[in-house]
Amino acid sequence: MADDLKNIRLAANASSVADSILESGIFEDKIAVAKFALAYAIKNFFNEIDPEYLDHIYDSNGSNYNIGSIDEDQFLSQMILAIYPQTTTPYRYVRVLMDFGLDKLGDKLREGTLYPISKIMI
Amino acid sequence: MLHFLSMTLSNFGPYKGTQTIDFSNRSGVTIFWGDNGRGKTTLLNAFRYALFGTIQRRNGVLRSLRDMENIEGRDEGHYGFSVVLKMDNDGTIYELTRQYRPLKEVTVPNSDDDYEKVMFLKKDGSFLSPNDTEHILNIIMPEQVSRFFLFDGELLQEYEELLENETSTGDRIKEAIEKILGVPVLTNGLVDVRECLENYDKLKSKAAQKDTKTRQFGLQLAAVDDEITEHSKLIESQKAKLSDLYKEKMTLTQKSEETEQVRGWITSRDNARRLLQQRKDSLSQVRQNLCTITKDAWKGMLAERIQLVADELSQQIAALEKRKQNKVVAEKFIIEIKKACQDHKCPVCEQEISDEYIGILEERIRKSESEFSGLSEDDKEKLLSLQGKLSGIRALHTADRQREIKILEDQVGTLQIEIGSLSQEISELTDKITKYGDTSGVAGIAQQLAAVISKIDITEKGIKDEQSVLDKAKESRTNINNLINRQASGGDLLIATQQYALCEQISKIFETGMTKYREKLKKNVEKDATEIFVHLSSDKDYIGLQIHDNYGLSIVHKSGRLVPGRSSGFEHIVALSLIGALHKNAPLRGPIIMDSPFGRLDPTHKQNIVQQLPEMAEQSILLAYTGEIDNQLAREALGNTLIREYHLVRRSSMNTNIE
Repeated sequence: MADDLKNIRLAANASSVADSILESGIFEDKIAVAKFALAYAIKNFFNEIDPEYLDHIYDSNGSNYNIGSIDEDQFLSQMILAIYPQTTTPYRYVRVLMDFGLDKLGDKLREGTLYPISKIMI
Repeated sequence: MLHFLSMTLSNFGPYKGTQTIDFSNRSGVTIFWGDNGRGKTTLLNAFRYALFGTIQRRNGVLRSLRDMENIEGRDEGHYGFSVVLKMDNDGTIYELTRQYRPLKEVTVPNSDDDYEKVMFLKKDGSFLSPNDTEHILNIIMPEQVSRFFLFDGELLQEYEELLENETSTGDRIKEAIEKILGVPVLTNGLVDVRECLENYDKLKSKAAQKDTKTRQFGLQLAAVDDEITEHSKLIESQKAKLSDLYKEKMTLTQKSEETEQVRGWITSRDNARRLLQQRKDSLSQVRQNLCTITKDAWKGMLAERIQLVADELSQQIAALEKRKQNKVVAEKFIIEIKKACQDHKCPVCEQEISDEYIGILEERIRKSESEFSGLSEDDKEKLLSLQGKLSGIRALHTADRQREIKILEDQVGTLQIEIGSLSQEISELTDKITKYGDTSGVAGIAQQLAAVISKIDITEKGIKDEQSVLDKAKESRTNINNLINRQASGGDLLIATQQYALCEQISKIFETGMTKYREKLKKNVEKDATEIFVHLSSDKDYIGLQIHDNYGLSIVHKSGRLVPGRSSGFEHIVALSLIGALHKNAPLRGPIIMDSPFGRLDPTHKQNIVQQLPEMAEQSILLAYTGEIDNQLAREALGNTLIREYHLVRRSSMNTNIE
């Protein structure tokens, strides 16, 4: 069984999408964008996502964040453990969900349907 | 009487090359016909430039005299322009030349600094000195009264408006009216007599001081005289200052009008910039609020998924709890049945229970103990775990903030549109301002004007206060004089008293004469203006004009009432009537040059004006656009008083021929 992560390193493409979305001025930082992407992925693609499989697919060439700074209140880990009760590596799931969500948001950005962001929150 | 004989233009405005207009020495009317843009107003300006060295634009600003240079001529290397006006004033022939030419050392002039202004006047063929030239021009055509000789028909109705309103320009027009009517001759006479009276007063004061009986009064009189002199000087200096302030106000008002458009642009741009900054600040604030909300808004997006998990946990917990509850209920029941079996008696109805039925009950007890056995130790542990998880899941529930974000995003959208539109507006205004040219000093005109108006108010109040002090001093002087008169018994004092009294009487005669002359002039102007007005007006219910103290005129209806709120057409006719009447009553007579004097008048009024032209002045020059009046009817109406007709013919957009 793989150990859980101490740092979350986004995939290169996901990291680049987060940079582009950050330019909109709607988010405070890339972590906020990545968390938004994670929520977007869970909300809209929960059944499509296989975190165990995708964990081996995404590269780790993007921005790197320490778990402590990403999940100060441990909401993320608790939430992942709640919705994926079988996992013992919640931060691996967090990374997968962030990468997945950012990829999807990147698609919308290219299509020009990302904004207003409130529309995709419904 | 002044009469224009000819005018020669060289590269002046659209008049390319050298072109001479012969007005002849006959009395009557000369008409210039020309379409819009051919140079009728420029012709009026040619007279104005020759006589006064100024150019007046109807709209907009003449930023530089260079703008009057013929463009085609300039392209061909002919720089500058000139106007030569030949005039007859009571038999003396004057030839006035005014040139705007490049400085000798300049081959290709680039700005006003590369030009010089030259003026000379010939009197009967001999050149006059610059001082004499100025003096003569001021006599034959003072600039102050030029508005009654050279006028733009489109601005005619301004006279009445200005006279009705208490404006400094209105005051100047009133002064000009009095000047053209010759009132200053009497005014100047009165000033001289008053000066003499001051001198006699001083002589009397000295004589009184020498007489022992009146010595004390003489000293008092000298002191009051000094006081009067001091206050009079102060008032004069304040009046001179006021006059300068009026001039400054007029210049600033003119500048203000001329630069109104560009100042409007600058103000609009400043406002737009201010608004843009406000919108940018608001956008920044809204984005900051958005960032604050989006930082945690993602949690709200998980609410649905978390609720699903919570629901599932709740169902599991509910199933376990149901089992637990069933056992409690079953245990109570089993105890009751066991007691019934033991007692062979029903605990409810207390009837005997048979052995056979006891067997059935014992079987039922066994089954129930098996069926409602409750939770096992594992189940209990699981229930506790599920309850813990549910509690943890519920703690994760976060409110949905989508609506808040939508509101803020809508605000961002609105602000971005406003910012875009303001930026565009600023860019367009900047473009216009840049094309206008140098705008330094333009922005401060309104403040400067307000400062001058404030100074005028202060100075006027100061003069009023000084006048009040002066009046008191004069009253005091009269009282002292009366005391001296009673004591004067002989010698120098008696003679001085008599001299003073005589001069005082003369002064009163002048004062009364001036008042009466003014009244007579007003009556005459009113009579003549009425006569002209009745000829010009097509409304027979309007029987005359009534003059006011400020020389403004009201139309009198046949019922005797004054007509309120007349139309702009009638404003025009009243102004023409006033000008005609002023010419009839003025000691200073000269030609009238009218640019488009018909305005929006109907054909009847136009015809009436044409007929009246020869009556209004000895020489009339009319600048009319083609179709402004019917040329056939004009010829018939004027008959042999029509001296010449000229046509302003287009050669190119920058070249007009006078034919």
